[in-house]
Amino acid sequence: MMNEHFTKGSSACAAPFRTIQLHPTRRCNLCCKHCYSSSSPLLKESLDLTALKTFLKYAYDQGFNNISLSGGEPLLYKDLEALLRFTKELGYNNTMATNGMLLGGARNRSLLQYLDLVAVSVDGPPQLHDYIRGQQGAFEKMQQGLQILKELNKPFGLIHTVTPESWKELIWLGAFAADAGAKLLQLHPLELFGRARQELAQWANDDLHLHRTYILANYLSSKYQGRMVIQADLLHRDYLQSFPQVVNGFARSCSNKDRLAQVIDNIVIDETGAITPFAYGFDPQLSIGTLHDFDDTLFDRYLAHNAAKIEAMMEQTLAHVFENKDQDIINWNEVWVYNSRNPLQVSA
Amino acid sequence: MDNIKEFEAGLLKKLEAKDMDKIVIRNISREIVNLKKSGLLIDQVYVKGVPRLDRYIINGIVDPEFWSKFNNVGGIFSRFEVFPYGVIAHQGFKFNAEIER
Repeated sequence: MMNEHFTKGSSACAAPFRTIQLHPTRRCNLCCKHCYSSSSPLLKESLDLTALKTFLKYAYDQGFNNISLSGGEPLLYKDLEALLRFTKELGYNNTMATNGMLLGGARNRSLLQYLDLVAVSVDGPPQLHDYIRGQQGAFEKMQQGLQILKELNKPFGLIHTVTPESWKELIWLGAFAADAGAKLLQLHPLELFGRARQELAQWANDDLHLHRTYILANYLSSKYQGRMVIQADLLHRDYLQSFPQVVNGFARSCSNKDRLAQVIDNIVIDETGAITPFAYGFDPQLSIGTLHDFDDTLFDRYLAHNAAKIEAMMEQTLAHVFENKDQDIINWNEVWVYNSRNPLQVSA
Repeated sequence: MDNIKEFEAGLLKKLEAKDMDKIVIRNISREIVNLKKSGLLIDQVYVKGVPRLDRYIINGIVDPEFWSKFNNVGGIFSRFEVFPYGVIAHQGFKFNAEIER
């Protein structure tokens, strides 16, 4: 029978990495129009390194193995080098999303040694990039950052937020990334969250734009096979229906449902110390806790109180996606975050 | 298509057409996903701001019906990539495959 090994409850485990997405500060040198965390140069709050280290040791012992730094601009976090050295010594993979404009200084060059992958945000050709970034010359400074990464032989990728204004630049972007020496081009559709909701509401991606992105991403994947990985954070509804375990940790037969890291692939820590499951913006009522008040039973207690509810929410959300035949291409994380805050009404 | 730039220009023009029939574009996406479902590569998605660190390849059993259409060559590939190069007649595909060693 076709795909019998990949149906719900299969042994296929979709996530080799269990990720902690860290936003140690929302301070940034830019004020991008599409920023989901509404970061800006005016924000000052940042995470306490001691509390963070204690939690990261606990989380590593619990099965998390990948740090994904975001922000704000992570390079503006004053304790970044000490943090990266600590997580690398523990055994984490370290990755960082950055605007790439601050890589020139000696301190920032030095801390690259602790990073396994640097992902630089690119919003399109120079004019579009500078418009989104709100700063003339941002593209040129980003390019200088790419050059530094190349000179230091540091593996890097480009992350692009796909909008209705940028999808037609994807072939250009593929060539730009390949020429720059990127190992990864990641395409993430614009989500109307944070500042994007105010600044770019008119740029919401409809199903047609998502189809275009999906097709072009698959073309680029074929074109650059063996040279550069193309990652599109989009799923076709039919694919998701066949392989729900790609997003649903509860549907994997190999998951130990008593271990948080095996059913929730991603947790987020923001600059206040709040620990959120799945993705930035997920319903705060389902928050896991905070860095400032936790003990070694945190994850177990969280699952005991919330696992059944989250699993039911997940299944309802998936059922809704499968029933909606007008939407073929799914930005799963946007749907999941939205539904966590606006629960679906289940008919009696 | 030999001329890759010509193909890419044609692809963009096709996708950009204001009067593009949505049924056509849905069929192209569906052809892609049908091939993925028959294959060895599982798609993943990442939350906003999290870069993909590595590629994850699932080894599985190739659908015999699918491969029978391609002269029963299934089982020897560790990985393949497909794209419907014949976007206008999207039943045509280009395959890039790696032979299992």
